[in-house]
Amino acid sequence: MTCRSARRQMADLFDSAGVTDAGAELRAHLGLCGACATEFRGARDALASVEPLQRVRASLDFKERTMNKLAEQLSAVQTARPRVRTTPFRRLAFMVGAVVALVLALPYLGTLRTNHGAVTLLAQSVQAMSGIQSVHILARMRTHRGDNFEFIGAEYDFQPVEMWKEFGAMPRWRVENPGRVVVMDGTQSTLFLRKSKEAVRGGRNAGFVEWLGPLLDPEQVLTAELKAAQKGESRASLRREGGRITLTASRKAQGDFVNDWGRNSSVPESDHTRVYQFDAATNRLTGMQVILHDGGKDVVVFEIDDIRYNEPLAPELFTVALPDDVIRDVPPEVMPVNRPIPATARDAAVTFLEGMAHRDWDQVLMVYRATAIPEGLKMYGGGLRVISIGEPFQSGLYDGWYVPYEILLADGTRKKLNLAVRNDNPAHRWVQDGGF
Amino acid sequence: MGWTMPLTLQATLEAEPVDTAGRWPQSPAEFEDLVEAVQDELVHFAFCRLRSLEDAEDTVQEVLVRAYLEREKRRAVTGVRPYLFRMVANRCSDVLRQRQRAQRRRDPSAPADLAARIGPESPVDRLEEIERLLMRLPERQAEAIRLRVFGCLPFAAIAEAVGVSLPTIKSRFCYGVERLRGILTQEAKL
Repeated sequence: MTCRSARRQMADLFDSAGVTDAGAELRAHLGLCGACATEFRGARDALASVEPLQRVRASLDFKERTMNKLAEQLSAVQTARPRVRTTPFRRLAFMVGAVVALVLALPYLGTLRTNHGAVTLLAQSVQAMSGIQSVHILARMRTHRGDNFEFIGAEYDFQPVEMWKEFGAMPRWRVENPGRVVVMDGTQSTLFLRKSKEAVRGGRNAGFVEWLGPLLDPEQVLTAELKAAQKGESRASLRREGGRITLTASRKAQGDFVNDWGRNSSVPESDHTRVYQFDAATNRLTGMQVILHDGGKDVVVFEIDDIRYNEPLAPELFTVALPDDVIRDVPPEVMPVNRPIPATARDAAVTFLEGMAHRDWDQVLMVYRATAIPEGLKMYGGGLRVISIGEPFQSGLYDGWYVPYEILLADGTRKKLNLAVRNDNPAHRWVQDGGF
Repeated sequence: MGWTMPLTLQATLEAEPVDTAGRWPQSPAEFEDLVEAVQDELVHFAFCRLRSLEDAEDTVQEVLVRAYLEREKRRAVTGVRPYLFRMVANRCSDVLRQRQRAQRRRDPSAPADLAARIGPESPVDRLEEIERLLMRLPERQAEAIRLRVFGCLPFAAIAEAVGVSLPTIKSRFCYGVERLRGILTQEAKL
């Protein structure tokens, strides 16, 4: 290597892409040539003069703030988007007839018990939906970050929720929020919790997406609303404004509540109003809001920002790549028996909390349905001190039991909550189901 | 005689994360993964330019959110990480220009309102000194050095970020370093 080519290639020594053959040759040259070695040292020293003294890192809550900012921006974008859509003339003319039928029916729409207008809307909507190949829903929901798709709370910020469904002989869908993703690949569902790396598999209708599931079939939503109204479970009304038709359905909270625990923690367990919007020209669902009525306050807890029909969906959407160190779900019938099996809801809570207290993960696995305890859970609850464990109770729509408990975490934080446990599985084995 | 990278640079490079290649995020979950993967390096890069952690985080947040909102437009982008560095670099330049304008309006003689200084050798003072040196280089050469030293990007990624060929970016880097040496030598004589 000549000195000229060595100087030309000297940048390679400051690259991080790995040592190349040319780089090795250059190093050999520098070992032999004093002039080039001096040149290199000079360049190295010059670069050292622009080297910062320290590396900073993003704040701990940076990601959370960014996700919240994104949710705000998505909302703003949606608000600014024009709602009027252009429609080919012939189709518009056809649809005007349908809208007129609805308008004529409006005076009769106090409830939908014998409501021809609603039936007309339903029929037209189902017809409109039948031509759909895919649906992509962008929504947001007030919930605790990283929680499941059921839990809501008026006091929480909005978190984005996104849903895709591909119709056809073997429908496939995907629902995800920042903490978890559920994929149904046509034959089975997989729930994956990103942070704790836990995966649970189930059938086509494993219930992982709870009340959101029906939204993936817009025509089923309408059917369900009509049936609810006909059975007197809701009060519904229709109104038309310009090119939009709005169906409003108000429902009372379902479930038995011995106390307020669980009330307003999910859409079905709260007094709420669902507001559906349809495009009058196409009868397609274009938006939805869920408004929670909590005392004197009305709070929007769920809102669809956009529904995109017949968008091409990538096949990868319907797969989920699980990491090598994934923690898998264990069916209750094959859960380990390394301690006495808890016989009651309270026993299950004691097993779980005392296992956490003693960092006895084998004991925790007696009631925790997984191949291993996630590291995050160990960090959070390991070494806790149990202050009290109360008597189990049932509340709302939940089929399991809540066990009140009070603990002192290792970092000194005091927590007073209700552990959710259930045994409504084929093995009747008590398992921890949330609330920690 | 063995030749290695300068110790400080090497230490930084060892901590370099895996390149965030692949497609532009198309869902909130993908976006969250991306934020997790790039937040520290982008914030550090912006901090080196802006010398204020708060401004650096605001800038990076703005860029990341825009990156997601414009996901349709950028679907075809494959080198996500270099592209984000480029977006952050551009936004930092805008912020610095806004600061200069505000500074001129306020009081041309007052010092810039930056992060609190800890002492004469504080990291912020050092960054100010670095920026003073780099400002004396042609902007393209300074940009190549910033992306290499602050962003820890390999030259191939810098070339992708800047939109030029690999030999061009190496050449800019070398000329920049050479000129920097000249400036340092000149200042040492004074």
